[in-house]
Amino acid sequence: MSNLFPKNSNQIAAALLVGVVLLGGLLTLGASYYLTPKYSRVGYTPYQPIPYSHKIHAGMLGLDCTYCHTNVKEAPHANVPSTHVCMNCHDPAKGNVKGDSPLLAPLRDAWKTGKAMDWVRVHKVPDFVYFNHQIHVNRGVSCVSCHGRVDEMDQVMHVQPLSMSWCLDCHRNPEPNIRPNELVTNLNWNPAKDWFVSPLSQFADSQAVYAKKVAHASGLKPPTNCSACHR
Amino acid sequence: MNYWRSIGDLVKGPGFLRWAQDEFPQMADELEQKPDVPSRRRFLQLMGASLAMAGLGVSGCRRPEGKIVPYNKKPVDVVLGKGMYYATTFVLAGRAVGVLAETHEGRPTKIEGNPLHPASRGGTDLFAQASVLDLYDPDRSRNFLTGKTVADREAFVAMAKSLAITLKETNGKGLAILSEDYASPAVEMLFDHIRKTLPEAIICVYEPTAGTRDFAPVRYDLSQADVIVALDCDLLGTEDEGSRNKLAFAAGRAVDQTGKMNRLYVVEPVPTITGAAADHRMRLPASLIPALAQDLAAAVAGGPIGGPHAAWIKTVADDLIAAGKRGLVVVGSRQPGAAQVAAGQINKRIPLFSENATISISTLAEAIRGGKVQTLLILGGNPAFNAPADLAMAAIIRSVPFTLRLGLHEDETSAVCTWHIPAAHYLESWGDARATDGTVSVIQPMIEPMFGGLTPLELLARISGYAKNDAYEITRDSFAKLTGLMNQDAWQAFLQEGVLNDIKIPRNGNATGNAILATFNWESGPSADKPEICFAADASIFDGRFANNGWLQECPDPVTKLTWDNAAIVSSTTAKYFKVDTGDVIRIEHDGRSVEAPVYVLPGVADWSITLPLGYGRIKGGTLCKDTGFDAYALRTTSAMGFAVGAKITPTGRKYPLATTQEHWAIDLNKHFANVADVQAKERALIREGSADEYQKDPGFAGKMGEHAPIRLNIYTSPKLVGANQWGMTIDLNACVGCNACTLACQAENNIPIVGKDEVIRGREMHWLRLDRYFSGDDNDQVKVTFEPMACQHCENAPCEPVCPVNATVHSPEGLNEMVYNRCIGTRYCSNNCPYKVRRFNFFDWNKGTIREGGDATAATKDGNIEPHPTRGFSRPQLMQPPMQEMLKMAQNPNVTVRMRGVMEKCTYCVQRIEGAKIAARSAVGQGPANAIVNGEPAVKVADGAIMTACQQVCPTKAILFGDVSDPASKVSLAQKHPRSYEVLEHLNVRPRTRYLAKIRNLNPRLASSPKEPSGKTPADHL
Repeated sequence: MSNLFPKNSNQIAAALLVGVVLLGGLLTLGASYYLTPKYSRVGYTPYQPIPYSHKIHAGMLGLDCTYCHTNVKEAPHANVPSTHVCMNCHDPAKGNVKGDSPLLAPLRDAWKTGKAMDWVRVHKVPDFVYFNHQIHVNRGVSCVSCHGRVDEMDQVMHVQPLSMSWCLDCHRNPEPNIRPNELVTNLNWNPAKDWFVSPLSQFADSQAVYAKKVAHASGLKPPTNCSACHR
Repeated sequence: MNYWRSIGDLVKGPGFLRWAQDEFPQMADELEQKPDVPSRRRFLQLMGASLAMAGLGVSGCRRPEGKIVPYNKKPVDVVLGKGMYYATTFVLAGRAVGVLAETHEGRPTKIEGNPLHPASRGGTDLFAQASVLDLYDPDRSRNFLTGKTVADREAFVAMAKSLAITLKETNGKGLAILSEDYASPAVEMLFDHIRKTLPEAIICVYEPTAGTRDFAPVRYDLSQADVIVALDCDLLGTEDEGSRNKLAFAAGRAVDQTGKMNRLYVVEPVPTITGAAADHRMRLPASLIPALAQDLAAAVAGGPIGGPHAAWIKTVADDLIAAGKRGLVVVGSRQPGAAQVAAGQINKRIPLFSENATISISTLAEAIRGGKVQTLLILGGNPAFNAPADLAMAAIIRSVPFTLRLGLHEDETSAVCTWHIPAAHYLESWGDARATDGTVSVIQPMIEPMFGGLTPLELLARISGYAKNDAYEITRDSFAKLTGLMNQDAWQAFLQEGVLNDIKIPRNGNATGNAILATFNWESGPSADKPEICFAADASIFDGRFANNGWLQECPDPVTKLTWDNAAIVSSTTAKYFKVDTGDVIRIEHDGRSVEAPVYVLPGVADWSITLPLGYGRIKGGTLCKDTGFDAYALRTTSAMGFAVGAKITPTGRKYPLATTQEHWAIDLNKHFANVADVQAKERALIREGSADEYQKDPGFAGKMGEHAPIRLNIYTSPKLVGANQWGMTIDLNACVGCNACTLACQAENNIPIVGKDEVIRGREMHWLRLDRYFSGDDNDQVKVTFEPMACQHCENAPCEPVCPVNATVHSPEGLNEMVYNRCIGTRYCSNNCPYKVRRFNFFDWNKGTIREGGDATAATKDGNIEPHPTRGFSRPQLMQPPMQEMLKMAQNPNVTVRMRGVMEKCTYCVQRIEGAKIAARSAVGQGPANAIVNGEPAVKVADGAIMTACQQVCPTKAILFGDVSDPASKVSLAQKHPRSYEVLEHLNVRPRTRYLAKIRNLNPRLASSPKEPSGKTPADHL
């Protein structure tokens, strides 16, 4: 009886196997890069209805973060300021800063009509994550750790993945992100360079030593259990 | 002692075994749905296909653009994401309970008791808990209506103005006001204003459950009584001020603190939670209770007595005599004057015959019939539905030329009125209220009236020409009148605290005249050929006003465990005589009227007495209230407001499915499989109770009952419990009265959905905290009822954890058994392996669906899509459409995930509250030194008492304690080490974090029945 298949058909199986492994490997590689928040979230820079510049306000003018995000130290949310806060300076009847700028027209409209502005959301964790700003800023985690150098951004950009593994990295080893509480909103502060400018430098030689001491003394053990964030 | 969940459990019937043996008996078949809703298989096919499509391109990976909309002008105190609490008052049928309403960005989500209010001291009841859902009821009335046409507000204002002018000219002649009991000094003030300026007007206050109003309500304080005799009075439940009574009653039983206990005797026709709390309970038809009251009075006075229960009465009388001034007899509102007067003789406080300034509803009906009323103003209530049937109130109201109705819903009464005005919910209103002890509290709005509703104050002011139209101004006037204070500071303090504790002006029950007392004797009772019917406020929907509230409809009745329906509740003897069983429909005729009702056979009901809970069988007023139960008001006449003897019973031969949860989630299944069944059952001892004597002799008696774990070993490595706080709970069965408030509080706090009647029948109800009700004693006469709240026990060796294939249920370092919804894939192994049966599975997207849209258990359907089920004979549910109404979303707690279909869920010990308290404590520490040392390391601990779980907060008897069990000084630690404390199912070595404290009954040694004493009858005698 002659062979049903030619001899070289034996290689097909091997080629298929190699192909499947290669393809699978490629798919895995692709998915683990393109389908993770590192790729899908970082870099997100939506246009806002008003080209509000954090660079001008927080960077050049030196407004503290909490001037606008007033509740960040006492609430889960870092509230977006109400129109009223903007109008403290930009109201033609008050400070009249750029009071006639066409770019600020939506703001003046909102103020006049009472219908608030629609800002585009940049940072968002999933609905089943209960992130809390209050605890982070009160325990010495700076805004910059999650939001980056917002004071240098004309348009706010998503700079960190905000994925669960990224959260856990810090919860397992928080010390690199701990700084004196009074420097939490100072985004320009560089622990390595600026430590000795800090009033607390008399207590510790470096940020690392400070963080270790503070973390120990204040019982800083960030939770890594599920219900700390998922309820 | 043998405890059983139902008669089926007692005789081990096949129905009960189905529940006991299968974890998910409800899984027998796939739920049928409307054709345009994909079935589960179709859904999976579609999902697979769409996933494949998604794989073709990665374009869908970006999330959709989200918006942030800040305030334009942020209110000063609002902190986004933090709840704010305002004092206000919940009024139910003239009973005021001070509450704190939790609001999130101006949207009330949860009611807590106001600790400053003496009627609650922080506890509330299930009605207050569920009232927040009423606010967001999508069926609420939204429009001003004239007849059936929508009118605008201006038209109403113009009408009210011209009406006020006409009334002024005629001195109010032809005006009648029919109001529910608002217990409000401001409403009283306006009534007084009307009496002055419109002297011809008739004012009538009607509450269907307030009793005959022959007598001014007698005020009493249970905490001051050592011997309490409740005669047909559900004083811990639906009668009088439940929250205040529960607190006072529990205080009188705190044997550990005071060393003594009060003793409660209850005589009642049907078991209530008061009967369950009784040390000695006697079942007696309501119509014999006046005779018993008279005999009791005679016995206390030292006279000789006869009758069938003379020995029992004599014993109770001796106990009352011994207690002296600390003896108290309370008579229920459905009892006639004779019983009230007899109780008054014992209490040495004769109740006053009440000739209130307001007239009764029958006098009003007569006036209308006599053509004396041209304008009728109906404030709240629902008289067309709940007035005595012989008055034919709907027709009477219709006969009045001009009728104005203020109501939350367009209901039966609105349908017969010329004008319907949407009412403001109390969370949208300004007003005030007075508790029975005279404490005045404020009603302040949490939110603007969503549909422009009016308060009774505004309506009364407009038609009476009061100087002010605004409810806020009127409330301030009333406050000034009460206190004589005009200054802003006093008013601000009133708003802040919600309560005026310094000034107590009890409600006027000033009385004159003489009551005509009917005579009763032991022959006036019912018998097989003339059974008795009793009317009772329903434990879930009260007098019918909450019939459109899904939480309350689905809340199991504390004793019958019925949901979504009422039933004619009878004893097994009565049922046997009429050859019916639970679910059989009977026709009940009395006085030429009849209703058809399904029978429910309950242990402990007096023979020949049929209890008919009121409030069901509504025909208008929303989607949920229709087609539930039967309308018992149809039998209730002015001469039989409480009970009547001589009804006629005819079985119809039809069946009606009842959704009772009594056999669901049965613990301790083994006893049904093992041959040594009863021996084992006894040794498990889920419920442990003893008499006061036993407790005195051996305080640790509870620990000696039941089976113990032989060795505290574990076959797998437990997670390390290294957290700074270790959470635990105790539930004191001696304080628990089984009122269901915790179940509702949990539902409100944790966004627990309702599932509808048909799904309850399948055993899919979602309550995280259920109230197990056990019967004990083997006899109808000696039956005792005991409650055991049951929620996740947070076992240290949690059996649910190792069986989860995806680690969706894991342990936290603080001892919480965590449920991670976003990991759960719905295998339900955890639920199978849970010995306490406390896990709940989302078979559907309950939160997206509307329950019972047109669905009904027996009736024919609107669209023909509902067909009787081939085996069970009830209809299919209509779920998942239309989409959840936007309004109901507003009731959700923003700090708790709304779970989706396919996910398991269960009690979390209110982890959102725990995390909130931890964040507050740690934020307060900041970078400063930690406040505790745990395992040799600095740590931040949450102070004892900083966290109250929702069930603990609501509990009117303070039966639940929660806190840190690793802190030896915390309240919960002390309770856990108490000699009465025990673990349920200790022998399984799962080490639950919730412990129970055994129940103590303060038995009278002279009365034979004791919880340990079995009767000679066999279980089969019951059937």
